[in-house]
Amino acid sequence: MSTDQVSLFLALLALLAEVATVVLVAALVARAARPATGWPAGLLDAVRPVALGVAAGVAIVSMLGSLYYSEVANFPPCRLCWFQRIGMYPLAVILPLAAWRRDWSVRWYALPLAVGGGLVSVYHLLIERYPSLESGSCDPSNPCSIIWVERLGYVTIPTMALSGFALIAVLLSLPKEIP
Amino acid sequence: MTRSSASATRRRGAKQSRTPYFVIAAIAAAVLVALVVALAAGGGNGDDAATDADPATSGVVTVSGNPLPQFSDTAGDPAVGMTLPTLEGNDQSGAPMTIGADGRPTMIMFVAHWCPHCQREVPVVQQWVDDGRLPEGVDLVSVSTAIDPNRPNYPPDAWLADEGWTAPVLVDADNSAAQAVGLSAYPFFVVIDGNGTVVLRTTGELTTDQLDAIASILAETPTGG
Repeated sequence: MSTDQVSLFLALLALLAEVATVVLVAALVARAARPATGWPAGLLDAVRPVALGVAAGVAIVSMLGSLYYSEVANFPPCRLCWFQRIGMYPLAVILPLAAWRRDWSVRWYALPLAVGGGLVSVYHLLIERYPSLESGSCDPSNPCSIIWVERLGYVTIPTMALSGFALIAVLLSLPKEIP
Repeated sequence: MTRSSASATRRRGAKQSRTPYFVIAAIAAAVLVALVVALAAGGGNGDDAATDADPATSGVVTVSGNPLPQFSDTAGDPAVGMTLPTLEGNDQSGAPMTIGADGRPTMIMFVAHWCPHCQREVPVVQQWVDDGRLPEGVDLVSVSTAIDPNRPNYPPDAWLADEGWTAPVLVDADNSAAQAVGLSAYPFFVVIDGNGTVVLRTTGELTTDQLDAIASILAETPTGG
């Protein structure tokens, strides 16, 4: 696969993650309003048993995508990319272990990483769209404002990261027990 | 437990055991569709139009004279008053091009094709030129530096052509010119009088008013000869 194809694949996965995040958030909100009735309860009931596994899969794919860009496509990670890696890479280790052990207490360790990483992604996205937020000029080595990849008209690398962090955070926020 | 309640329990159990597999299958199908779409719609990079032999991306600058110190701030810049080293190379068409003391005050703009600030500044400067605000007797030249085919917005000649860039472009594929003028960030401006003496160095996105101010200072400087 070429870098273009990998980027499109990852962008489509990011789009799927965004759709899933929105649907799950809507279900959580609807369930809070009308507990245990209708589609929200059914959806959450269906997703919860696999939520840890899916979150682990998202983290692993995100990490592999990040490594592909830096090690295969030779896109050097910028400073903010590294901060997002600090959030995502540990998730790719602890979430699969938690999924294997069905250990929901992992949310206490994983949610701060996902939320923190997601906030960095949001800031990185702002830097990409408004480079002057970071500085008035480009660092000659590797400024964070460079848009290395843009697919589907809006999906850049930090967009992919944010999509992954958001879905992981929502999956880890599912209620422990569905009534 | 009655027969009906046992049956209901079995139904619930069967439902709970089936549902995760349905979710997993749905996720797998979605990922597979994404993979097929990417494979079908992918293709070449599209940015590979330039080749290593392209003068617009492979020109190397020869530097004659002492390099300027690394730039840190316009205020108190130690390079002011020094002589710009002569930069000889080729333009984007491969024709010989020299930047140095030629008797005319000159604004030199260093740009990198991948730099978002350069991408925003180039049209500003071009509009400023198109509006006739570059004073008579003052030249504007540019240097295309930090050329990297792996970075976005490559090749630089296509980008500058898209922007309608009219200033001559010296190609600095190995960053020799950038290092010789003490470049520290992009875009980078070096302003020299007609004798090749540095009047000003600055970096970042300049407004048209700032360009006016620089040009008016330059118009008052010696023209050399």
